[in-house]
Amino acid sequence: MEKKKDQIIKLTDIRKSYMLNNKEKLEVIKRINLEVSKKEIIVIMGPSGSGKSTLLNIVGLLDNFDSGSYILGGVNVSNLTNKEKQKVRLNKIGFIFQTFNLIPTLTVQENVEIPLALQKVSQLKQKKSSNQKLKIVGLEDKLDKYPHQISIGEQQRVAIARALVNDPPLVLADEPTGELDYENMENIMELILTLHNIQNTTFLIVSHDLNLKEYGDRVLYLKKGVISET
Amino acid sequence: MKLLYYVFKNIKNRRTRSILCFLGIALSIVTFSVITISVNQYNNVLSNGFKPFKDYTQIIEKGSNYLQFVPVSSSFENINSEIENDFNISGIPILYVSNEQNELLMSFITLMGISQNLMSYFDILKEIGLYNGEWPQDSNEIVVGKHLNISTGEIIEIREQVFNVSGILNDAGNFFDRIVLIDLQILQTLFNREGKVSLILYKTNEIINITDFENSIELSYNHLDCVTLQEIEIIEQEITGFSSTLAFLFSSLSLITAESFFMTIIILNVNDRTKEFSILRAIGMSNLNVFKLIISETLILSFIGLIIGIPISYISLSLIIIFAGISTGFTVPSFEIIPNIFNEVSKQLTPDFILMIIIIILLLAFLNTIIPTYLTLKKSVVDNLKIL
Repeated sequence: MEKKKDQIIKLTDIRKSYMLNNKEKLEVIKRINLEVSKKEIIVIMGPSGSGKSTLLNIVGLLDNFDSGSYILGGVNVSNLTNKEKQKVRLNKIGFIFQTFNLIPTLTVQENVEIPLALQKVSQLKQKKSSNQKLKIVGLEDKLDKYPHQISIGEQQRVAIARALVNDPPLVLADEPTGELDYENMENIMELILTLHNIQNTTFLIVSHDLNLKEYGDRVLYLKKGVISET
Repeated sequence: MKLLYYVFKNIKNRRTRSILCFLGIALSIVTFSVITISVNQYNNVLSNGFKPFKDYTQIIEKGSNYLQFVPVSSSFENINSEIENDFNISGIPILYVSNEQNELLMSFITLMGISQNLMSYFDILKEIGLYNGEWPQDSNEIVVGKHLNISTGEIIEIREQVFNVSGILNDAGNFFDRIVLIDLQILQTLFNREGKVSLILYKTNEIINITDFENSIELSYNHLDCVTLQEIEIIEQEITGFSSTLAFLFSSLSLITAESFFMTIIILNVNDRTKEFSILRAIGMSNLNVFKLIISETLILSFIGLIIGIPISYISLSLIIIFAGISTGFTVPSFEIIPNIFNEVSKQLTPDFILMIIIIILLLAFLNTIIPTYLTLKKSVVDNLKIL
């Protein structure tokens, strides 16, 4: 197994297709090769339907691919069982979703504590880590609020804190600013940069918003399932 | 945060769903226990109704309805002396008169005519025994059932004739609790039924050949019916068997209805939270933990349902016993002895029965959770996350 010292993601010849209702095959990802180094911020741009989310789901081990190989943190994760994938997701990957996906019945702090609770971290440590992350995202005074009691921008901050609370080496963000206005978009992206600088986390961001280009170390374009640097 | 805390928070924050769920469970417990226990109780009452006569072969008028336990409508010429001569056995002629005309200004009382001399020797009455007072010394004295709340020494007037209450019967748990025992001849005269009886009892073990006896009676007296012990048992089994089947059907139906209600709530709950479970799965929660989360929630709701349902069953059964007692006259705990009602219910709502309910409810909760959870976990996380 090949392992480059500073490489976190290596996708080789990844293909993914879906069967349509008329039994036609729609190839969404066509032979994608991608290498991402540790601590990089990669922004993948592309129009709707270009396969961005599918690619992100494959990288996040939420979706399977038809062929190719995927090495994550030096480990070949192409043929893992669902249980093994779940463990990798829990320990190695943080997720930021476009619609935040917070649990409505839990408070801000409890939402952030979920990954730590799943890792069976002590309650004291859960509190400490969640307080720390919520302080970084500027929500230290909203710990006991419920998601519906805070603004949309604040909800995305909570989601970011949750994605980073257990210090995963890789964070995947699917249209993280898709629901936000320009001002909130800027704030969120600045926050991602700050966290990246503090934690040295690798970020893989997919978006159709051209404003995000300036935040990436590398910007890639996905068009009709094919990735390119221009 | 612990996962169990998350479960409790969900129960608390999804209040309407939680209340509906445990009320549904409580309702199913109440209907199931009330129907099952009521019918058991009804069967006990039926058995008690037949019990006093189990050592006897009876002669009754053809067409007498045994559903009424005592053939109050039956009335035929007393042929006791003829049978005594023919078969060399002694019988006990009895006349039952209903209190339909409110002779005693009380409902559900049966007047039972039996020779005053026989009262203290008749083993059915001897077995019940006197709660207080003594057996009648002359035909102007009567004995009454305990639940009529009449005291010894009281004077009672029936059809303008005055009787002195000499004794009160012990609790019998059947129609003897609401009976007035009067000398046979006096009762016949009072109700213009001279020489008439409702039944004649013959000790079965004193009859040498029961088949001969039965055939002979039915051939010689074509308006009479000889009911043997076996026939009484068949009648009893038919009635209790029918009511048990009916009870089984009703309690099953109530359980199925409640179960459908319960399952619908669980399915709606799980479906409604498909996205939530998918978020947790995406973050790294295992399918087993998602299942544990849902099952813990359902079991806690079921447990709350049990805590509410069992006392409500207790109260419902108490009310049924009170009203059934008042309306049928068979089991008649009076209002002034409320603790007795609870004792009565406790006898029915036994720890075994409660344990059975707990097992059924928890088993249903478990089964109800498996199917919707399986269907939810089968769906792809990616697809579920797209749900708005």
